[in-house]
Amino acid sequence: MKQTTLLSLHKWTGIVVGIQFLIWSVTGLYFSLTGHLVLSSQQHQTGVHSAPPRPIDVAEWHPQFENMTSVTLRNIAGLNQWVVTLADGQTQWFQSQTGRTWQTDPETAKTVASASYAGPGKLTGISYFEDGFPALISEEVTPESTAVYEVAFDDNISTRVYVSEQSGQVVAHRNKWSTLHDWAFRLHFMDYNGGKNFNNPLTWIFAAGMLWFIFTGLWLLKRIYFRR
Amino acid sequence: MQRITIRKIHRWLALALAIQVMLWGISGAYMVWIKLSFIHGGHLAEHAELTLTDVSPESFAFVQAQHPTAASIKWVNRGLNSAPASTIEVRTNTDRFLVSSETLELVRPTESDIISIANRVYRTTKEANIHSTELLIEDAPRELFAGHLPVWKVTFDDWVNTTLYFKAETGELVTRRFSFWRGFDFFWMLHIMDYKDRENIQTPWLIALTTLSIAFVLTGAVLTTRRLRKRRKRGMAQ
Repeated sequence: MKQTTLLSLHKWTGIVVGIQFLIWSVTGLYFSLTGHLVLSSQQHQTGVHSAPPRPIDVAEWHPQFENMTSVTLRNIAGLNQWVVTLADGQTQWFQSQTGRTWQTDPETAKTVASASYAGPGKLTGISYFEDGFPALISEEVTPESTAVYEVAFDDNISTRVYVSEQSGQVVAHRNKWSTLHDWAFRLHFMDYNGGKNFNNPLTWIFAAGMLWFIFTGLWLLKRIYFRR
Repeated sequence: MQRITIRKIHRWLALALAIQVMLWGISGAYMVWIKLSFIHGGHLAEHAELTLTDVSPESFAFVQAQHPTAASIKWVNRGLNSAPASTIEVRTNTDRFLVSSETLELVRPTESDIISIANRVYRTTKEANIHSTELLIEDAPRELFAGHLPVWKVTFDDWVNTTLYFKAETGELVTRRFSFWRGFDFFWMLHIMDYKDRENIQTPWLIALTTLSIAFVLTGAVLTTRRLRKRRKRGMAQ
């Protein structure tokens, strides 16, 4: 290949990938200055095992299904819950005393949210999202969005705690900066759906472009310094 | 004069950044091209708890009474020799252990239990055998979160050096590691430039180099715009 062709290939790839490289650098710097804790919006979240356990009451009802692989009795905000996993990988949740399908009520959601909250704010309100909250979706971790409660606290970053209606567990903490973090991830991962998935066709193509830029660059260097 | 300065800055930045930009490109390509779910290794082993037969309310109630501080009580069958029917896993905030669902006595998986669990959960298309088993109590290898200790480490002799880690007290599969995960971890280290713990994204050199990268692209943009403008002028003059 002629050196001028190679140079022009290198230059044009550089210009196209360069725009994305600027975005990668800016968002990368943003991640670096912000840090894990703030990026995950967990500044006011308690550790998993920080709350003392409450004794579990003896259950009145016991799950008996075909193909169960585990049956767990645990305490959710003072109420007991059965968690049943089945051989096909499904999980089901039940009220321990009645055997009815578990459905978190707003009061329980508030208690769960407060137990996971270690910030200085007070609980100010609760909202319910029947179809889930899109920003909570992460394709690799929680691909499906299910109904959640949003419990708000009045600290200086406006912490909001999301509690799953289906399981009664905390799904995530978010605050007024979370949307900005989401956008930084979207731009860095080139995943504009917001699924936080960096394995997508755009990143595949741009990664190839980047490697091509590096490869042609090295080739040029070799030509210039070791003329053959 | 000014033009030469920007060009010079751009070249010096290129020189300073070249190696790291190459490493960002190569490590980034590895991480985006190989699916994260594959890296997590779900295909290597599944959480193959055996199907439960009878869940006894009396045994549950007894274990609850014995361990009033339990945060959760789980009925599960991991097919242990000492508790072939099933076991009850008790978790408190600090501890976790297994009780036989029949004798209601404490049981602890033995090495042969772990080997049989590992053989049961391991799944690949080709035949592979267990290469080694080791009980890790105090020192976690780099690839294992130390909070999981104590664990049994089971290594298979397949081409990707699959290693499965099982909780020593309960026989639960805690994590799977193989060459592609280790590759990801290595490239992640190069990507975030934390060569020690591979988890700190706030190292001063990362901040410095990303800042220089921004300067590099911006000076490049200035040079490109100038070049294009010059070309257009030349075109108009002709």
